[in-house]
Amino acid sequence: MMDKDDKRFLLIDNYLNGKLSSEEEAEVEAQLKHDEELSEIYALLRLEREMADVLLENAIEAKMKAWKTEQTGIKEPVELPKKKRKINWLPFVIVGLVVVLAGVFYTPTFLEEPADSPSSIGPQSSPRPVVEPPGAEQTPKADDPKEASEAPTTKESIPSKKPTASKEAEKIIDDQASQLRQLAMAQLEELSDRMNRAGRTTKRPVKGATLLERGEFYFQANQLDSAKLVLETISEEVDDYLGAQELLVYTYIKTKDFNSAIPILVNLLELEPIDEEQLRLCLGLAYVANSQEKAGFDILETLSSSGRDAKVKEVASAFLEEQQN
Amino acid sequence: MSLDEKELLRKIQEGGEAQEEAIKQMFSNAELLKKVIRTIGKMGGTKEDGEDAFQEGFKRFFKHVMNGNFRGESTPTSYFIGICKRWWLDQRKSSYQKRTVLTNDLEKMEKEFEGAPDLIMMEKERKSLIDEMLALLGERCKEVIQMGLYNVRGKEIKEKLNLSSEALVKKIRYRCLKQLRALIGEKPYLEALLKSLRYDG
Repeated sequence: MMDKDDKRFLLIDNYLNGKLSSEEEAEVEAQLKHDEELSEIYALLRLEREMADVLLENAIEAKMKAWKTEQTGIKEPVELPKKKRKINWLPFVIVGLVVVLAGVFYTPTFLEEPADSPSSIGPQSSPRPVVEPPGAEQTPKADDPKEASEAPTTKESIPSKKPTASKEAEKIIDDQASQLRQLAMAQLEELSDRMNRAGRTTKRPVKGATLLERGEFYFQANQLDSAKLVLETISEEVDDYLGAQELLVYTYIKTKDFNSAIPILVNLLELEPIDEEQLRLCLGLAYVANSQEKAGFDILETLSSSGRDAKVKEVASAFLEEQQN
Repeated sequence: MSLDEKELLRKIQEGGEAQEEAIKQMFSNAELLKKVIRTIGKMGGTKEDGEDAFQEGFKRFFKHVMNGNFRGESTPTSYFIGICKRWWLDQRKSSYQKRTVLTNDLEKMEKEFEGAPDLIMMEKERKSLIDEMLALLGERCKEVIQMGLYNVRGKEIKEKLNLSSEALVKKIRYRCLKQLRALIGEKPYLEALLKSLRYDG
């Protein structure tokens, strides 16, 4: 026997399945407007349909995968690591930190050793704190178990014997390079944040809004995947294309996908845009962040010596100074 | 209709294992894949577009069969190719400007917006919320919900779930939903999704 509650479920079930007469339908609709509980049953039954749809979709996908494997005998490839890992600067930061710490703690021992020991570690590591503490502390270990698991390995590599001078020198170079990459990333982050605050739309786009407006909204709401998806679809024929490409660059930068940002920046610069120097600065920094130091520094040097935009010139010069330090 | 097509149709309409076998046969049919690639190619698509249309079209086709929307008025193959074509056309509508029309017809508008990239993303987010809700349910509830709503025969459900009567399926479904309601109450973001489904007259 159905209880009262079940009968109400059945009523809405029949309503949603179109099994009621038009008079009954009108009656249910009138009840739904005032009866909170009935409206909730209505929501639950609609949710049930969505759930059934998702269950079915999951089942189809699993079947298709299995049939494909059966056909080809090849299992689906394991999901590739996230793009973010391409940069892979974390180990360098860790090595850098270890070197610095080793320098601090081992100094007294080194002083007792003969002259072949790298006593230079201490003094050379001291000017670095400019970027090191925040960068090192913010290292997203918890985000990436694999990266986290690399940490002990590097720790283990702390020499039980004294490190040779050449190894130390290599570590210091790596350390400096990684610091510059971090610095470039931080600078780019700031530029894209500035872009974010530059009076762009905050209102949720209404139906009929342009794709660029939608992209701007997602960018500002930090829904970067959605922003990318929308901006990438804006084709060259659309008036908003250049604006969209520029915003796409900042979106890639925010997700640290420099491999995607660089070619767009190169293309944009060929079109001689109004904010050319700002984009050129982004390109220089993006090259450095992407471990293409030479290309990056060439651009930054040009901006530093002959840039017209004072702000851009200042940032480029400050960055080069950091490099020389 | 060729003999092969007739056999395919018979199996699809029979349901159960025969239906699954027929669907698998279609999915594994290399000739059918080529046909879809050729069709999409004629409409300006690449080979990859054709392959995507085959994959995505297949999901839709499967759903149509399970929903009972495919009634066998055309051959399974031409029905399937029609779905693939439709999917491809949806993908080609790349901007809202091109789609937006002044209309009061909500159903028409839904169709116009189908396939828009940000809507796809929102759908994905919604799907992950629904997946989360499903995780709150037990396996039996999931089975009952899926079979109760899709074109699975009452008798089949009764046997599969070892129930004494077909009417019990509805009773169990409603009980599962009531349990789910209580569990959703503990998670505000799921509650918000449920609220969005309320009747807004």
